[in-house]
Amino acid sequence: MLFTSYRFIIFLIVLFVVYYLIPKKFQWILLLTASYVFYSFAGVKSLLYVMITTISTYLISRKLNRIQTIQSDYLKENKETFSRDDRKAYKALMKIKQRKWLVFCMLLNFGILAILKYTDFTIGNINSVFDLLKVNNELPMLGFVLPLGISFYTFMTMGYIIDVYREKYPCEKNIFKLALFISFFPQMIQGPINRYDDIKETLFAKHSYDTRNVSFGLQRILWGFFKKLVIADRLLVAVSTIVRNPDDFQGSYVLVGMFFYAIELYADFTGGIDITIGVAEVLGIPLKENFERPYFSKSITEYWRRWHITMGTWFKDYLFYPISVSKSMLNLSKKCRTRYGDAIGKRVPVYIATIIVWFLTGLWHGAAWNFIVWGLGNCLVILISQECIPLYHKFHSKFHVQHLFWYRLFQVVRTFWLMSFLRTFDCYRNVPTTFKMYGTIFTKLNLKELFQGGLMKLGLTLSDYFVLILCVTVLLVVSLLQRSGSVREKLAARPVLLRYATYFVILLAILLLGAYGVGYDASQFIYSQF
Amino acid sequence: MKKKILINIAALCFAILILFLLQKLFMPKYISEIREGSLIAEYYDEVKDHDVMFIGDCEVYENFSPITLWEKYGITSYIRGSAQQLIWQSYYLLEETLKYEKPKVVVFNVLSMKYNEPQKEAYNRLTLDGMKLSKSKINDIKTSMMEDESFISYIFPLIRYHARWSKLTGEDFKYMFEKDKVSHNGFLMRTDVKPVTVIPKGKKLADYQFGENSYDYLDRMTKLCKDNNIELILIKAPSTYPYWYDEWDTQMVNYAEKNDLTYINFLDLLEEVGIDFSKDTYDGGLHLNLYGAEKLSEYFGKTLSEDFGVSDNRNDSSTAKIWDEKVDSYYAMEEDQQRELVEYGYLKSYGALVQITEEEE
Amino acid sequence: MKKIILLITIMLLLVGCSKEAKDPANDADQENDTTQGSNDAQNNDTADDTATQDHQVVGFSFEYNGVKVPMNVEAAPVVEALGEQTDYFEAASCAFQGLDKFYYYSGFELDTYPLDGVDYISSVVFSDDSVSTVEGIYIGSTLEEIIKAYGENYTEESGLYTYTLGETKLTILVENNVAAAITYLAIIEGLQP
Repeated sequence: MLFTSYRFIIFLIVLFVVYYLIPKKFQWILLLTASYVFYSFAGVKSLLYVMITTISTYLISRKLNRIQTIQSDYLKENKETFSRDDRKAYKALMKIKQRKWLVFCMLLNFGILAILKYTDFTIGNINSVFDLLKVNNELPMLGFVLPLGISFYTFMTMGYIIDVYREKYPCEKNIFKLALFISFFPQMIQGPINRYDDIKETLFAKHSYDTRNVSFGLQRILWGFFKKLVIADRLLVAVSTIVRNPDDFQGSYVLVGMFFYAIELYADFTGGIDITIGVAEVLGIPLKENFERPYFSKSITEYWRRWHITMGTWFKDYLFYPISVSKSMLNLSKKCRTRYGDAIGKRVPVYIATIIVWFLTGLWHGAAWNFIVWGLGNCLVILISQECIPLYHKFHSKFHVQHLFWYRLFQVVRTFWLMSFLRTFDCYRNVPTTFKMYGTIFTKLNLKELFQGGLMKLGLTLSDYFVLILCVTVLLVVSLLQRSGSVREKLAARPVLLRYATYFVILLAILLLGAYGVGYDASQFIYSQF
Repeated sequence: MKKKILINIAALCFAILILFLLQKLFMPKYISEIREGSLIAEYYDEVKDHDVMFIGDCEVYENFSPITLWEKYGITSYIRGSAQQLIWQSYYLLEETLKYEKPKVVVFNVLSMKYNEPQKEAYNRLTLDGMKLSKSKINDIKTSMMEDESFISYIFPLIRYHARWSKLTGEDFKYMFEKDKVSHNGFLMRTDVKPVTVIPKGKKLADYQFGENSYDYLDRMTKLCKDNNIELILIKAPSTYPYWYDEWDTQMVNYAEKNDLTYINFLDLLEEVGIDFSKDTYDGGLHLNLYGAEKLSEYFGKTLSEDFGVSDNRNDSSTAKIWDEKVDSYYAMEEDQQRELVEYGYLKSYGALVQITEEEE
Repeated sequence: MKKIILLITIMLLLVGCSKEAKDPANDADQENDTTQGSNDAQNNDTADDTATQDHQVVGFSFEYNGVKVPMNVEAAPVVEALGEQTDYFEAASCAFQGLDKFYYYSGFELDTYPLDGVDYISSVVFSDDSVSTVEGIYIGSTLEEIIKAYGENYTEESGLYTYTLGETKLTILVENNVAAAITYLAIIEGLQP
């Protein structure tokens, strides 16, 4: 079910009404039912995968919990008799036991994800190697269909089991509650990737009708629809035209494509998240923010703290830190320190962990080389900027520009374009083509052509551009306002007439200016096939 | 607390009002362009008392003149035709019409038998948007909808036409609540002339059998008329294109025989009707113009009155009064169209595009 | 010094990674079709487009007197090259939703459809056996000859054999084991074949 479909809207209306009418203790059960209903629209077969993940994680998390309980009980019992070493040895033994189960669970669930998502990619690569070696064999593609949101819910679930392993919190004893955590429908399309302990208080709680929650939630949903239908879907027309015809649109068009794509992806992704968080808010369940005005970032590292936040933190907590502080990594670091010196030695674990994380981040985005290159590209830029820190310090101690508005603006613009360049791998989805297009930026100087009718060849009319300029400006203003506090709070303090007028204007904008209906391509949220 | 509820209700009502007005504004008005879009809706304002109903596609609303039928035979008729009206759309229109009145004769143009499935969203709109909401309309929508269409966009057409915000013209404001009539009891008048030069030959088909869906609705139509004691006449209008295959004609002859219906193929009666394809068509033979339509109506009116006993209502004063007005506006439009032809060379205000004359080609 | 060497080495390594990633990227063309986890809504066609990027019309095309008549291209230059028609017909549909044009030549008919004010070739229909396809099939050719010329990759229904190539179709109506009608068609969404 697409967010921007009539079916979803009706689904929401029915859900909201029933949710606040039924006895509160059944609310989470209603949510579970609704989530499964929602999911079955994406394919009943896919439900099977969700259930496998749910059941396996539940059973194994209970197993882990049991081992931990046994461990703590045993240790308590033998508090007197056990020496420190005994305790350590026993704990280590238990840890190994737990790890076996953890690894099994992760292999199973990540395995499902890997097989469904990356088999054809692997086969394709093998086939190219065959081609290269002039072997006449060709493996057939298997064409697996990805269950909706598998990348998101697998990560969420694995995060949960790792947390249980780390004894961050006890496991969830009710399998249906765990099922709800895993399959909670708003997050199934594009996240955010929630943590169990963040959400468990509110997800299963009793919720009374709260005007503020409902009103703010609905406003947020409205805002999400606005971004998605009016801005993102409109820009998609132009971006598609540029990207699907790389021969016709080179040079400055590539820059236009980058720029439009940057705005389109932002509007689409954050719009979808707005709808997600708004829906949860109406239900009384606050979710973690996934974006924090990322285009105002001044550096790439800051950008990745503000864009797709939950993905970044997931990779940091469950991949980066474990790798960089793992025994093998520390050993390697020690070896490098003794052989190559301190500077290299202390960098080795960080660098390797970073490269692995970014390789996997890229891979997570898609089973294609362009995503991997994109991930590694980001990695490269981050590492270079890390290395350049002493240079920056030198520069700033000489030229005191750090506090100047213009310098900060320069940083923002620079970061924006840097990320847009990197994101181009996303656009053409073909690495050689992307590099070729980069080249044409410098070789084909057709800036004039853009303003002599070129912009009209992208599928957008003059009125479309007018709408875009107006609405992106509104978007910008709202983002600027947000820096000093929630815009909805500010709106709530205004007279009721102004509030209602604002809602109505946004609703009208969506209704009239939205790029939907016959004549517009129905497009899905960009991250929906994860 | 009460104040809050009142404010909310007031806001809601206001919002609904604005949306209602916007919908009225955004609906295409079909006055200066694509006048065919106005046809279906015009029926509802009529005094619904017609002895003959025509249903079908442009081959009915361009080829028959109810005014001629009235003037020559006193027959009261209405043409519920629309652009590329599909057979199930004809059926549901008929079903709806029977809730308003019971004609003695229903005339259906069988060209639409060739379309077994929905064809174009644009034509669906031209036929369906004009219908008042009813069970028939709902069934019609469901049967006509193409893959990329949504049911809700028919209930709230604002959803379909919202993109017109950048194309609104003065006409959209002027005709928001009331429109001028474009047709004469469903007849769309064209007085321009474009003679037939080429009659395209039909391309060979693999399969000439009309589809199951088409036959199903033809059966339903036959039953509906029989159940209501209505005489159903199947016709094929005299147009040179789309090609009417012999194999199709045979099927209709057989169907009519099997179901005890009359089937008239006017393509076989061109001489009797007196059609002159150098003068009687405005688009090279696809449709008749006013002169062709009047000839055809005069011929067909005779059949209706003599063979089917459709009564002459010219003595009924109340009916005559209504029809006298119609006759006046009919000839007034003819005059106006003639004037435009002289002034502009083409029917500028009547939706015609500038015709390329043969010399210019 | 060591730091700089290491930095350059790492950079080279990383850049090297990217370059290596570039080479087997030809298979990215195939992957794109099956990639579900795409970051974009512009999913399926990118691969096809990169394959047929040069606007070469991949499909059946007719030839007459040395003039190539491909499907779905702009009609005007082709019509001009073909010279004088024997006849011409404009087929306005109801409510003037587009004006199809039929150009009649000796032995065949060329049909066009309008899109955004420009006419494109929608089909070529043989009217007699005086013309033949590029592969030598004409009205009267036997079914054997047809299959020999075009192969077995066809769909058949009620005697109508349809071969598809790119965005074009070649349909041959076979009656009594010989070709009775031959038509080239452009595959256009929403257009009646």
